[in-house]
Amino acid sequence: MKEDKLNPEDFHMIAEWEEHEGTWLQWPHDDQWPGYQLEQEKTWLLMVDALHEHENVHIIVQDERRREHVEQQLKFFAIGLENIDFHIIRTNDVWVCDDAPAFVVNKEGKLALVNWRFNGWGNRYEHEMDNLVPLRIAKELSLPIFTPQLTMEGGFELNGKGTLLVTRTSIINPNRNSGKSQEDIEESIKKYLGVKHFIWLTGMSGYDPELGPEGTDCHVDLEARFVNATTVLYSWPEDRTSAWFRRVTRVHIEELKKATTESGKPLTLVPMPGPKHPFSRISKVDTGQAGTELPESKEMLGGYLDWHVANGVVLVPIYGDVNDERALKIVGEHFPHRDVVGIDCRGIWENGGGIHCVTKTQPVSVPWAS
Amino acid sequence: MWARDDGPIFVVNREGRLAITNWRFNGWGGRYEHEMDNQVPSRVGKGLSIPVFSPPMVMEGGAVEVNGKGTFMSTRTSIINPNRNPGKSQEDIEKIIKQYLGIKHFIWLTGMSGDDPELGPEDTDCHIDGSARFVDESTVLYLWSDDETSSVFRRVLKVHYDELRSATTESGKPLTLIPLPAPKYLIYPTTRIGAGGSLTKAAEFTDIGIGTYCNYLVANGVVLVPIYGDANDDRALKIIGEQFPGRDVIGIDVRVIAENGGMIHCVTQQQPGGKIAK
Repeated sequence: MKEDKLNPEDFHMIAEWEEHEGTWLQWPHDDQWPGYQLEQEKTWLLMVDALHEHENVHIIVQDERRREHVEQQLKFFAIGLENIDFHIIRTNDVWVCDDAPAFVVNKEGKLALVNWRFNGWGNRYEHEMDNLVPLRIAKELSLPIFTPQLTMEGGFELNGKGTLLVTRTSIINPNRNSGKSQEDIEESIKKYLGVKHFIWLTGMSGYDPELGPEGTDCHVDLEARFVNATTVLYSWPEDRTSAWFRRVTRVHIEELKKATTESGKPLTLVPMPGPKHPFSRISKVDTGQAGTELPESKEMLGGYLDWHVANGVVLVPIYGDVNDERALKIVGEHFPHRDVVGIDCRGIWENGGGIHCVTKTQPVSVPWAS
Repeated sequence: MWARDDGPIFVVNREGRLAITNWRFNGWGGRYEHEMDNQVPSRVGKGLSIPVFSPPMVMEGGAVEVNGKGTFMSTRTSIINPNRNPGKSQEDIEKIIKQYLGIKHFIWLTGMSGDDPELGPEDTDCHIDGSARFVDESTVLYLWSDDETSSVFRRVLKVHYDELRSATTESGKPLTLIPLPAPKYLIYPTTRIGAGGSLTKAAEFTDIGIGTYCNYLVANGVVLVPIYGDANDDRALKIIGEQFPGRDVIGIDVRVIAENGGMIHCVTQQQPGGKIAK
């Protein structure tokens, strides 16, 4: 089926808790930063282990040699290869949530892809290969693909009923969509994601001298997540004296209090604690953005909101922190029929993201008639 | 994987010839499976074709800290303990250690019982290699904490410090003492394996306790130091580096090893540069 015969407005993107066909991952590799794969790979193995009993796992690898390696690792650690397939697509990095296409379905349950432009989070990082991932997946799966004239990453939230929650700074930003107004952007998102209502949080500039560097310009998955059509878990850190809390999180909470769903209903808001203590960067692999000095303090505070909901299981980032158990319990209360698995994500977090940032949902669908 | 504890502990004679001391290993007082680990020293002896001495007592390498001049430093609880050496007095034990390790002087710190309800569980019953280490014949780095209110501080660290202050080397010289701070934050498990048990299913969620930077390994030209992604990592690397100025100091992420009760020193065992007799 060719996309030029299709109307993108017939399609919509599902909420993460709706039924998945599978989850996509981009396997970490050493091509950009030697040593990176060694430090990161274990986390990917743990994610596959937790996911593949519940749904398919689609693993993107650089080449045949790397496919063989991952396959051997999965076999050696008794994870096996059930429900797992590989796609050889060259990538810059691991952030599949941000570079991969949005998977959208129409009323008949047929699948298409939305190929937002990916420019390395406002041209901070190399992204030429990552930006081609949607086209490559469309080819691999023989799916129609729509290409909106908009730069957008997967760091947004949907409630499954037509409401999209996102920060302004991560989209309405000259480093992504220069010259585009909020109306232009909303129009494009409405058309391609089946959205009718927007909740815009202020966000923050990743270059803010007091708050940054923050490479995504504040993706909403750091700050607030839908757990159902009307309930949002929001970041409620232990340290409420920090500049981040004062200037970002507190502002967002006020905005969420005034926000409504597409039907005009106020949101049910639930605080999500953060880790009690910061941790310090351990990696010796310098993945910093070119031309930016690493901050003097290597300390960083993780967050628990960056989870990934899959069929029957929720993967929650944990940090070896006293609050891990509390966070797992809270997530479990909102997803009572799923296992809740904590994944040590300190290695990912050192590079600027959590579990949600390195996973991408593919919804169930019916095949196109050939 | 605890090569430090199951051994072998290598010894050399005056001609520089190498032998192995095969201390009995009973899984840290019968806490863990150990049948195969207990065979490692004799298997290594066979592999290298060197003599193996088998002292009649239980001891782990993590309980052994020597200054190279005849002083042996350890904790009582990790050796003079009915779970290792029932019926043996301190004199009995000192006599055996003197005979097999070339020791003439002992510094015994109190240690702690790993089953202590307030301090435990600590499966090694407080190995010295987490608490105090010689960096030369009379200088000791000792585990210290900025949190003076904790029970570990009050009942272990402070007690050890006082004992080290009154201790001497084999020549009667007092020790030079340098504090090595503990990691700032407690360690919590992230895996579903080992000492931490099941994170999501555990009835009780407890910390693993404080980490330690004392558990480093000194090798030729390099010191491997356990790090935790903790605010004190850099401080510890600096202090240890100052004591070993001719060596690179490399931090190794031990967060997952630490969940299972040990760090770098616990999983390494040095072999001296002795000759192998034919």
